[in-house]
Amino acid sequence: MTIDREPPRLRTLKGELPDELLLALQDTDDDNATPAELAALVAQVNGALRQTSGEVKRPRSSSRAPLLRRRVAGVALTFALGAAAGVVGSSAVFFAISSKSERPLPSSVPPKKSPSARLSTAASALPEVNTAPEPALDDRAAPARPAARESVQVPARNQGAEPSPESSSRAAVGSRDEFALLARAQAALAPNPGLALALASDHERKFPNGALVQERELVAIGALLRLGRRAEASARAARFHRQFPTSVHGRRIDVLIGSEPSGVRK
Amino acid sequence: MPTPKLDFDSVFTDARPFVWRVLGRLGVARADIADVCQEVFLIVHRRLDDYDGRPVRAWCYGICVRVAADYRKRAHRRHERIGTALPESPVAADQDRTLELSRARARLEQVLAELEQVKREVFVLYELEELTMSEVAEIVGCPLQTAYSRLHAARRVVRAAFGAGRELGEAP
Repeated sequence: MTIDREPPRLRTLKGELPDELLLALQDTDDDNATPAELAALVAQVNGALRQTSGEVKRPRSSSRAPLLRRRVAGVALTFALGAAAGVVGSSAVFFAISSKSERPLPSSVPPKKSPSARLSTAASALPEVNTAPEPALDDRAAPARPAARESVQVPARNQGAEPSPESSSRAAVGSRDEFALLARAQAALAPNPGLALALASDHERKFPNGALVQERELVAIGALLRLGRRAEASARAARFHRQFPTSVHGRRIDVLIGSEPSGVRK
Repeated sequence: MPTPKLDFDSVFTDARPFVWRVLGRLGVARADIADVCQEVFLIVHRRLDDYDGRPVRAWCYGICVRVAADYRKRAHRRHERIGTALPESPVAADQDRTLELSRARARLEQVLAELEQVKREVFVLYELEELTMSEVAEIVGCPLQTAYSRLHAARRVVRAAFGAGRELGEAP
């Protein structure tokens, strides 16, 4: 590699530059991460890699069933926590935006009768076999799933009723697919908000009356904010409030929408 | 010549301080740096097998440049200029230096934010990261001469901005 005669760097040109510019070029410690920020980064990246390798490299087999259950349970847990207190672990990228906010959520929001309760139930009822989820969480913004597998859906209004054994098993399949789809969307939120948004749209198309409509909106709004599409996020949030005026997620959405700029500002 | 195999953990350990730093300098908002860092290292991890043997530092810088450019494209609407809300009131003497520095850094950030991204890249890599111009050209993927013209153009804008700022009477 040839080293050309390079011009002296501006920061070395004392007397030839305004003092203010020299100062800005010379005193740059603030650009570095603090030890705490680096430690948090290590945890975040390692978590993301574990997730990625778990989803991409494992072979498709029934041995993945526990993995799916963990993931789905994670979704349920995340939603439940989000509804109740907004306190989530580092693996829950779902609320990464809001975690940047200094404003905590009040913990008094009652989680009962929330979708998370249904989620927990459905998650524990997942079948043992044949539960391999989608093979990859990759960079493609296209949702890849054969339409035939989406043929069974669970209308939201059925959730509270006591299902017959047959409809229960169909519901389990529909729930499982819906879970898997939304789990992918949630997992993509931080590393790839574009993909998260695409998967949320996919969910909207395939499960218009699904059990996780509100959670999907939460993902979509978070993704829009991360993509800098603030106006769309606000419009979607307003629609959410009109549609679900008493939702336990309402406050969460307010925090997302309200706190995002302060999270960006230094 | 066989390409040496890269070990992710050692790349991650060596690179994370400068990856963090340069992403901010390339225009990633502080609050987003951790997430964008993660994006960079997921790409590093995915591309370990394609690593072509160039200096690891330059390889990582190259990824940062591309990811930061993508970030700025998709986040331009929420991109906020640091320093526009800095206090203007008089401060105690021992705070003078800090305030002066904050203002200077804020002004530089503002100037860089208004630069074309390709010029900002060259300016940041040469003036702040102190890479050689050959490295800079390789990292941003342009001919050396092009890198030089971008550097000179960026310098002109930066110098003018600091000169012009004084004329506005904002600072003595």
